[in-house]
This record gives sequence, C-alpha cells and structure tokens, in this order.
Amino acid sequence: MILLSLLLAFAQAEAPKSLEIPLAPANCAGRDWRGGGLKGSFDQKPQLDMLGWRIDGDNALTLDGKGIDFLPDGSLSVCAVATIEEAPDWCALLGCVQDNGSYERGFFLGSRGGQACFAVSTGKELVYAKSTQPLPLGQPVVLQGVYDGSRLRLYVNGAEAASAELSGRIAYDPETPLVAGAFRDKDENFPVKGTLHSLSMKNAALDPAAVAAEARQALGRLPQKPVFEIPPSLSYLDAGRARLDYRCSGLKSPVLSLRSQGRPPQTLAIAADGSFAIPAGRPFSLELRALSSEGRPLLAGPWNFDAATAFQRPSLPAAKAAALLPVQSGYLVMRGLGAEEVLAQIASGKANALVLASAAQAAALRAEMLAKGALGARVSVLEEGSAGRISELFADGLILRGPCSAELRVELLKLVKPGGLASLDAGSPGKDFTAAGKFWRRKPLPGAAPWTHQYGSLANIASNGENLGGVDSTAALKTQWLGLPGGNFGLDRNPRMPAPLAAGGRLFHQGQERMVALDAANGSILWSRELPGLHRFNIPRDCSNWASDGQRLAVAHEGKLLEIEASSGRIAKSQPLPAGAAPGDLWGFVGLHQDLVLGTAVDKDAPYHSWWGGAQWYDSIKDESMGQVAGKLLFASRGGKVLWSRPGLVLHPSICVQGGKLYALAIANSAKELPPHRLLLKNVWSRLQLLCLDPLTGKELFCHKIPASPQVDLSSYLLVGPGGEILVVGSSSADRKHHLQRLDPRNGKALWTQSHGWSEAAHSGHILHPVLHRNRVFLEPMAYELSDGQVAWKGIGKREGCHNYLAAGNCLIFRGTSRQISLFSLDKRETSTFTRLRPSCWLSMIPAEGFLLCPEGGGGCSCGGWLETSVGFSPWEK
Amino acid sequence: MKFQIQNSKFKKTIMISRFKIPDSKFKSAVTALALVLGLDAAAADWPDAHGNERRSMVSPDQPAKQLKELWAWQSPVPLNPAWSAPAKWDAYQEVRDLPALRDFDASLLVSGAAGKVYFGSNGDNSVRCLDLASGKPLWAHAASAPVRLPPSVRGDRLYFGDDSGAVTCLDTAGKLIWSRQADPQARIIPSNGRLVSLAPVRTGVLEKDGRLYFAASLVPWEPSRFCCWQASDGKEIYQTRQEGRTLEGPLLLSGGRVIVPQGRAPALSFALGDGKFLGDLDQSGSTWILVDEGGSLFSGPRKEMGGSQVVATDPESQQELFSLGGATRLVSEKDLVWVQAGDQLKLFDRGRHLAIQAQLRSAEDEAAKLKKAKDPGEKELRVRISALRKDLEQTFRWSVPAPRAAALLKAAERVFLAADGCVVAYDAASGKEVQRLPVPGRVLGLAMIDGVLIASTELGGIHAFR
Repeated sequence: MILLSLLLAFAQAEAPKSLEIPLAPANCAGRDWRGGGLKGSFDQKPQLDMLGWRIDGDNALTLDGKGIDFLPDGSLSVCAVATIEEAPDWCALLGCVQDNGSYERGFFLGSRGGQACFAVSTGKELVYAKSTQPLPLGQPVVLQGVYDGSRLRLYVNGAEAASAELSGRIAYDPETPLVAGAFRDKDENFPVKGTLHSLSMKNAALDPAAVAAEARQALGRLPQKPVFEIPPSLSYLDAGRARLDYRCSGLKSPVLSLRSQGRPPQTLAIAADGSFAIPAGRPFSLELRALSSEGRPLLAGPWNFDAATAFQRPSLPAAKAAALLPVQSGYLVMRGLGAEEVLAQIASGKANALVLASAAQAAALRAEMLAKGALGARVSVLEEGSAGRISELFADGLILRGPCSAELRVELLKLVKPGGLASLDAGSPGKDFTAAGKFWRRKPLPGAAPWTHQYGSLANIASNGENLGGVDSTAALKTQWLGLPGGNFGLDRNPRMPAPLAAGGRLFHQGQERMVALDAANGSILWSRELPGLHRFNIPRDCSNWASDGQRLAVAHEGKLLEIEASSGRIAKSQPLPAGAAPGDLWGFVGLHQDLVLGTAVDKDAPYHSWWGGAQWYDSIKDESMGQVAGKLLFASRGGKVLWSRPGLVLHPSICVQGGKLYALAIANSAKELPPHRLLLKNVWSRLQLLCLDPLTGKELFCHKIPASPQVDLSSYLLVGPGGEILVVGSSSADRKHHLQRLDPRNGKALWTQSHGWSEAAHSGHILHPVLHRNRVFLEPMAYELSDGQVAWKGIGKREGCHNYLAAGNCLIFRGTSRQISLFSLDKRETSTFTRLRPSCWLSMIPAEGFLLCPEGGGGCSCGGWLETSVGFSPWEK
Repeated sequence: MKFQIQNSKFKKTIMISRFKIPDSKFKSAVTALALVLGLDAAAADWPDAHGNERRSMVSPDQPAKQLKELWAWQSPVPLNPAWSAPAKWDAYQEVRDLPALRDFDASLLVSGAAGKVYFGSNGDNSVRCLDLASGKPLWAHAASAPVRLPPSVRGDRLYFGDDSGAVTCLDTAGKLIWSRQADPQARIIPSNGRLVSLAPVRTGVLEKDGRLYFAASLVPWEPSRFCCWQASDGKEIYQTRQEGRTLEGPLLLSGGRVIVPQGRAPALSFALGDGKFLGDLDQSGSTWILVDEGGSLFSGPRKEMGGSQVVATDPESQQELFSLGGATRLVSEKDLVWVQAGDQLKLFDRGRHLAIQAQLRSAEDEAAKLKKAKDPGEKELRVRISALRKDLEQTFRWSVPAPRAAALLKAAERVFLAADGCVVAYDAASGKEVQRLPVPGRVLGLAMIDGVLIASTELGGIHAFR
C-alpha cells in the first residue's frame, strides 16, 4: 500500500519528483531488488558492486506493477548512466515499451542500431530522437531523454544529440512493466552487456541547464582511472599462476578480480609473491578496484589476457642445487655427470639439461630420470655418438667431466653458443674461447650484429651490418632451432607491426599486447610479458614503438617510455613525456643513441591501433591508411632527464641517426598551421624540409627545403648511409612510381634522382622501404649505385606478399615466391627459397646475432600449410 | 553457424559401399567384417590412436547405459605438444576461432588391448602401460625424445615412433625388442626445451601384414622419408624421400593406400606396396581425417576456411562425394554420419543423400537430353528435379544442441562427444542426451577399450569410465 502511494505520488505529483532506481549490493537479496520505495526482481542473481550492476547480456530487472499505474504520462525525464560493452540492435537501458507490429506504446532510453535514442509513443508509433553518432562503447556515458509534451530530446553526456516533434500524453500498454537492462516487450527480449551505474526518472521535463548539471553530477560519481607510474603488466609463473605488476602511488585497498568463461568475476587471493591463480590455457580478464588516498573509488581495466600463451617451465623434483656454471636458462650440455649431479646443475634455474652418455649409460640414465620426474620436462639424454648431429652454437653451457675422446671433446665444444660457458676438467678449449675465471667463454661470432631498431639501426637503412656468415642461399642456412611462441602469440598476418629486435644474444618479439624474449641461438623462452595497450600497426606510415641496446628494451606505451630489463623482462622504470607535450599525448618515436633516449610526442589519435577487418591491411592507396604519423615534439633525454625538446611536426618514418647527427623530414611552420594528427603527404610534400640536429644538444645543424619532385602521397622514407649519404624516397600514386633523391647535406639539393615503376600496386609493392647496403640502394626491382644513382642492375628477387626487403652480408632477405622466405644472392643474382615457410607481414624476420631469426613462421595465416612455429637458422654449419 | 550440404561438383560419382546390416546384429556384423577386411585386431580392442588404422572412432563395444568413473591418471609433467596453436583469427578475412593446423598430440591419446591401456607422452618422453580395470601403472619405458602418438598394439607387440627419429618395438610387458633410427644422419635441434631430430617420427607406426609404415618428417624445407620396415626386426623394406612436404599425424590405411595428413594442406596418398607417391588428396585439408568402413575419406577443414568444412572423398579416384559445410567433426557408420557443426550434433543420412543425389544427376542428364531434343517432357522433369533438390536438403534425421566437440566416438547405441569439462553421451538413434560425464579441462581425445570409455584431456589427464 505504501509502495502504491509512493508510485501514484510520482505519477501524479504537481511538483517535480524523482524516481531513483539504485543499483547497489544493498538493494539486492538473491534475485529480489528493493530501493527507493520500489520492488522488483532480476531474471537471475545480479552482479552488483560499487560501480553498479554488471550485465552479461543475460539479465534484466523488472519492477513490480504495471508501468501505466505509476509512470508519468505528461512530462518525463529519464537518465541512465552506463558503460555499455555490447549493445543489441534494440537496446534499452530503461523502458516500459511494446513494439508489436503496428501496436507501439510506452518509452525507452537506449539505442537502435548502435545509435543512442530516446523513443516515446503517444498512442501511435514510437517517435525517436536518435543520435547520428554511434553509441560510445566501453566507456561511461550519460544518456538522458526528456519529453515535455511537445518535443522529445535526447542528450548524450549532457549535450543535446537529437530531438523530434511529438505531442500528447505518453501512452502505455496496460500490462507492461518498467524494465531495466533490456529491451523487453511481449515478443522481444534483448538484454544489454555492460554496466548500469545508475538509473533515474523525473515526472517533469528538465531544461538543458538542469540536464547538463545532472550529467555532470552523474559522471562525477563514477570511479576514476588510477594514474599508474608503471602500467599494469602480467607475467605467467606457470600454466596456472600469474602476477600483475604495476606501480601506482596512493592506491589503497586494491582488489583484483578475474573473469573467465562467462562466469561472474571472482576476487583473487593474492599470494605473498604477488601471484594468483588463473584458468590454465584459457582467456581471462582482470580488473583492479581500489580507493584513492582521498577515499575516492578507482577502477582500472578490464585487461584481457590469454593463459594459452603462458609458457610452462616444468619444475624439478627436489634436488640440491650445486651449479658448476652460472647458467640459469636455455640448455646446459653435460657429459660425465651422474643423475644427481645433473639435476643439481639445473635445480636453481630454468635451464634444460642435455646429457650425453654411452648407449648403455643413456638408457639407464633415461629410466632414472623418468623415475625422478625429470625426463623430457627438464632433461634429455642422448647417446654421445649423436653429438656431431646436434645444432652447433646452441648451448648456454657445457660441463665436461672424466675421460673423453679428442673427437668427442671437439664435437661437444662446438655446441657452446657465442657467449656460452664451458667448464672443463683440464685443457684449453681452443681459439674460439677466452678464459673467464674458472670457465671458458665462447667468443662472439665474426660479423654478427644486433638489430636494435625497426630497420636494423637508427640509420633506417634496413641493414645492420650482420654478415650472416657470408651465406647467400637458403641451402647454406641450417635449421638452428624451432618451437614456441609460434602463431597464437601474435596477431594474424602481423598487420605491419613493429619488427622484432635482437641484441645481446636475445631475440625480442611483439605479439598482441604482449612481448617475449627468446635466446637467439636456441629459441629458449627467456621471459614473456603481457602488456595491455602495447600495439602499433601500419609501421610504414609510422615508426616502431621499441628499441634495444642489449641491456634494456625501451618501449613506448601510451604516454610513457618503459625501460624493461632485457635479461629479466622486469619493467624497471618509466619516463613520462616532457613538459612540452600536451595532456593525452602519446610517446611516439623511440631511439637509443649512446646514452640518450630520443623520442617524440604524438597526438593520441595519430598512431594506428586497429587490426580487425580488411581495411586494417593498411595496403590501400585510397583510404586513411595513407596518413603519415607525425611527431609534434622531438626531444632527447639522458637518465630520464630531458636534455632538449623541439616543437614542430616531423614525419615518423623519417627520423634517423647516423654519424652523430639526427635527421628528420620536418614540415615548415607546421606547429601552427597543420593539425597535429596524421598527415596526408600530398598536402605537405612541397613543404618538407630536411632537418639535421645535434642529438646531444638539439642544436640545428642545417635545415634545407627538399627539392621539388613528383607528387608523393603513399610513403616517404629518409635513410642515411654510413658515409652520411642522405636518401629521401617516396612513392606516388599519380605516376605509380618510387622516387629517389640523394641530397647534398650542404644545401639540400639533389645530387641525383631516380624513379621507377612499382612492381605491384598492392602487397607493399607500392610502399616499399629501400635497403641501403654495400654502397647500393635496393628498391624492387632496382639496384642503384649510392654514389651517383646509376642503375647497377634490374631484378633483385621477386617479392610476393606484404613483406619488405632487408640485407645481410651477401644477400637480400625477403618473402619471395608464394610468400616464402627467400634469399637473393648479391653476387650470383639468384634467389633461393625455404619451402612453405611464410612469415608475417612487413618486417617480421631479421638477420642478427649471427643467425636468421623468424619469431613468427606463418601460423597467423588461415590458408595453406604454413607452420605454426618460430624458427632460427644458422649459417655456421657446413 | 549455418549448416549446409554441398553436393559434389563432379558429375561422375563413385558410390561408396554400404553395409545393410540390421542394427541388432551390428556389433557381430562389424566384427565379422573387420576380420574379413583385416582392419581391427579384435572386437573390443582399440589397437591404434583413434581406434584403428582407419582412425574411424567407431567401436563395436556396447558400453554401459550409465557410465561411472573408474579411475583417473594424471601426467606428472605438463604436456609439450609439437606445435603451438595458430593465431586466434584471420582478421583480414574476419574469420574467428581458427583451428590448429596440427594438434595431433594435444592430449595423451591411448591405445589398448587385453586389459591394458598404452600411451606415449610428449611431456616426459615415456611410453606407459596402465591396467585397464584399475588404472594402476604397470610399466613405463623411457624414450630419448617426446612420443607424440600411442603405440600400435599388435598381439604382444607395441610399435611407436619418437622425436629422436627412432621407431621402437616393445613387448606388451615393456621389454625392448628392437629400436632403430629412421634417419641416423638427421640433424638434432633444440625445440621447446627438448632436442628433436629433423626427421622425427610423428605419424605413429602402423603395422599391416607384418610391415610397419611410418614417416620421418618435420618441416617442408628439410627432406622427409616415407618408410616401410619389417615388423619383426625393423629391417627396411623401402623408403621414399619426400621434398617440400611435412608428414605428421596418424597415418591411415585405405585399400592399398597409406594416407598421410599434412595439417590444413591436403593429405598425401602413398602406395602401400612400394611407397610410391600417388598424389595429393586436394579436395580438402587434413587437420582432421578418418576413413569409414566403406573406404570413404572424411577430412577437413579445407584451406582458406575458418575450420568448418568436412569433405567426403573417394581416395582411389580422389573425387569428392559430398561436403558438409559447418562441420568440424564426425563419425560415420554404415549409411549414417553423426556430425558436429557449430553448437549442434546432427545425424546425416548419407545413404538417402547419395541416393537422391544419384537420382538428381540422372534426372539432370535426362533433362539435358530432352532439352536438346526440344522435348516438352523436359518441363515436367524440371519439376521433379526441383523436388529432388529440396529432398537433398532434407537428409538430416535430427539435430540437437551440443557443446563444441574435439572428438566424437560411436559405440553401439551411443555417440560420445568430447567437450570442454565433460564427455556427453547421446543416444545415437534419437540424439537424446543420456549422460554428461564431468572431466577437468578440455577433453580432446576419446577411446573405447573393452567397454571402458577413456577421455584424454589437454591437462594431461586420462579418465576412464565404465
């Protein structure tokens, strides 16, 4: 009776009255709901917390009674605050509606076809005030509908988004209740997916100022995102446990909740080491809730992860650690040790043991290791007669004890990788090793070089000085290692993502918001880290988001640069953008030059983050994938301290360092005149300048206007050769040609120009990045002399698919016939191919650290018989 | 997901043989048939991965109407499958849920006979034997590299291959009879913490008439070998060198042919007698593959697809019989095919389908002739053709909601479906769900040994139900 009185008062009151529908845990007992003098019931037990009511597309709240009995039929204001994850085609956050053929009654506030709307019937069809903008998904939004008896208005976040003429009193169906969280009438039921934070109604039409005030108030009550000094990232401890690492000052009472397989979120029990249980092999998401130091609710996430990418390291049975060599990962080769001694070598670390023994001993040792639970998982036992068949240069360590034939000793020493250690009973291992205390260390491979930046080095020349043992055909490359992380670590086809890096004997590879470090010599997974927000695509129109000097990985992540220890994957520290950057700007370019970090700030919408659908192939010559990402602020820092910064737009694909000078293509007077976003080259090409700075001081060394050339609109690159040779290369859809200019650093004038037609108008053939190697410029299908631009020859191995060329030693490396990895011999001018080995797009394999490294061997493509693997090749075995 | 039957593009259909056996006599008839064809070692055994050398997943056993958990065994170490999964989707073509190209060893598949269960492990390089009745470990053999498929059981002999490239024969008590390398010169490389040969044996080892068939193969840019050895002593009978191919997953026998899966690429066909390469079965991919008792080859998914197409092919003529769009797994017995498609389990009446298809083709041929002769009877025939086409779309006897299956197994009146967290038993005739057996983790493999249902999981668990 009291309830009825309240409702009647709401419907009939002269003075404005509010009807609040509180959505807090205190309002719910099982499926029953009670609040603001009202009662109702959920379809099923709801998930309610401090944020409101989380709906998984399978629940709704129906208030007791019929709407016609208590809802106002004159003026009406409805307010819904929600974070909608998925909106069905018919989406109602709150409504009392029937839409059955020509019989349409009541109202609803929500969306139709993905666009926010407020619909009311006054006895005929529902009349819609419908926004032309899509309903914002995944972020809090305030939707307000106001009907004043003559007009219908929809407001989104306090601003009017649509209106429609309508007059008369609201007509309700006599049997229909008020329903929250679903569009529900006699025939239909479409629950939303997301979180309803608050719902309210008024029996009056609010004016625009009151609407705006109500929206401000509603948004102000929502939890805020915490500001992380180091963003959350996840590392897997084993298949069923993980740890979330982050740093955030002033965070109180943090609670981590996990959702998986459509189940309600569960609050995680965090162990002393920070770890918690995860569903093995399954996707899951995490959300962090906490209070700020002022007691305000904070919410971060959800972050999506997939435990299928947790690389397991089987534990060993209890064994006393007594390591003879400081080898903690990879492979430790042993001969002459008993079972207990073998286990003692690997007990404290993550290394795998390979034991070589006589045939009789091997069988017995295998049986013993199987009984101990170590065989296979951590220990392999091979007969010593097979030593000569094992990949050379793969082992992190070798322990040799007891008598051993000279031949076997030679074979075993060959197994030790560059930088790997050997512990011998006696004698010297030979000229390939140097003494390292009690051990011997293998020398670096001759001609080996790191791949530290997108195109090898900061010079952007797609060649890093790696000699790759001087080989020039696939036949001379032996399979060195094979295995994880394979295909499911990354995004299929790698939509022109940042290239892998390799330095300090490690190979670094980015997947979908994750990264992994592998041992370049043996493919061992050293560490992996899930880092939500780590993604950048369409690199030909941007720059990479990472670089390494062997000791650290510098990774651009949102508005910060993360410094990650190369050895452990630990995020050691983060560096914010300099003061000259605008709020919300992102960290763009990353360059490591000596002890400097070079960077740019970019507009938040500038980098490419989309990957779903054909348009995200970034290959078209007509769509927005042509937009060049431009840095707004170029700067250098040392030890986190900014040394200098320089405002003005510079094209990201052009930034490079060679010979102690920083070069970039800049846009004259750009700071004031052009939008700081993505630039269409056709709009800025005539205004490009060749800018040269001292990277230590930021002092301008010269700035020259680029000579006039045909209209370039598709791509533009800047490369600087080892002798300071400056090349500007662009591609034009007007004449379907690549245009090359070598510029004189003294005046910016062209020393020579060349142009030639594209090999293909798709699959990167029209946006290829040139290779500068052995004093020649290679740009399919041409080879030019760097000195004078003369044609050296035509035909450099036919590329197929969206890959680019790069160079090492005596060959060009690329995806050739049928997209397979191919080598083009610069001496013999012939191509060889690895059968059915298709890596991902743009630049996904690199010659570095003495090996050809391919961390994604083709699992990302749905077609054909490609392999789901990562692979390394060695030129060192004859 | 929409489910479609797609008729063969080929005018000339090779009719598959069908066995008109009354249901009540099915078990004995199949047993007799198996003996005649020499396909199955014994009625209640499960001598090879997926049941037999046709990988048919059909058992003549009559399981209990309601099964109870008998025992469970858990691998002491995590599994170490040969290949990672693919990217989860093809974003460019907007295809989600890509299936693995090669997931033949994602669980510990079993074989079994005479009251014993056998399996190899990619986790700890072992071949193990458990007592079928109790699950008690009887023995374990330590191999030198991962063993990715269960041993083939023939009498008192077991045959298996491993990643070191060795083929090994044990007796059923675990005693080593012989072991030999398929390619003693093949290089050995590090791979996922192990050392594996560039010529590992990942096809299992099939015994037939005293001969062993297997392949030693890893990646297509390294040479592979298709091999035939004597079962008695491992002496080579022949081997053929294969270039540009990668032969992995359980081999199948079909008539005088050995069928070799190749992931999403087409399966390969070799002559049993001399190992001569007979060609690609390029109607379909071969991530998943079986041969039914009539010799039809079912395989899928096709390349360029999102994992939802099974094609029935005549391996001899290599002609497509029909394809089942939307299908991911099936089992076939006589004229009936139990098909998993999307969230449905369906019973496809292949016999009726092929009969209508034959009528349709005959009518179409006749109509073409009438048209040429400008015979007015053509119009009447077109009406009949239209009716036949409609009939062709109505060849499913039933369809019921079902979880997504990693495997299906048919045993007498039951169809068992391997799902995430359970095995579901259906009445084969009606599709009615009759029991749901909870199992921790995703169930990826099923077997039926002497009336005992065995479920193998992604977590390295083996669960027995009787």
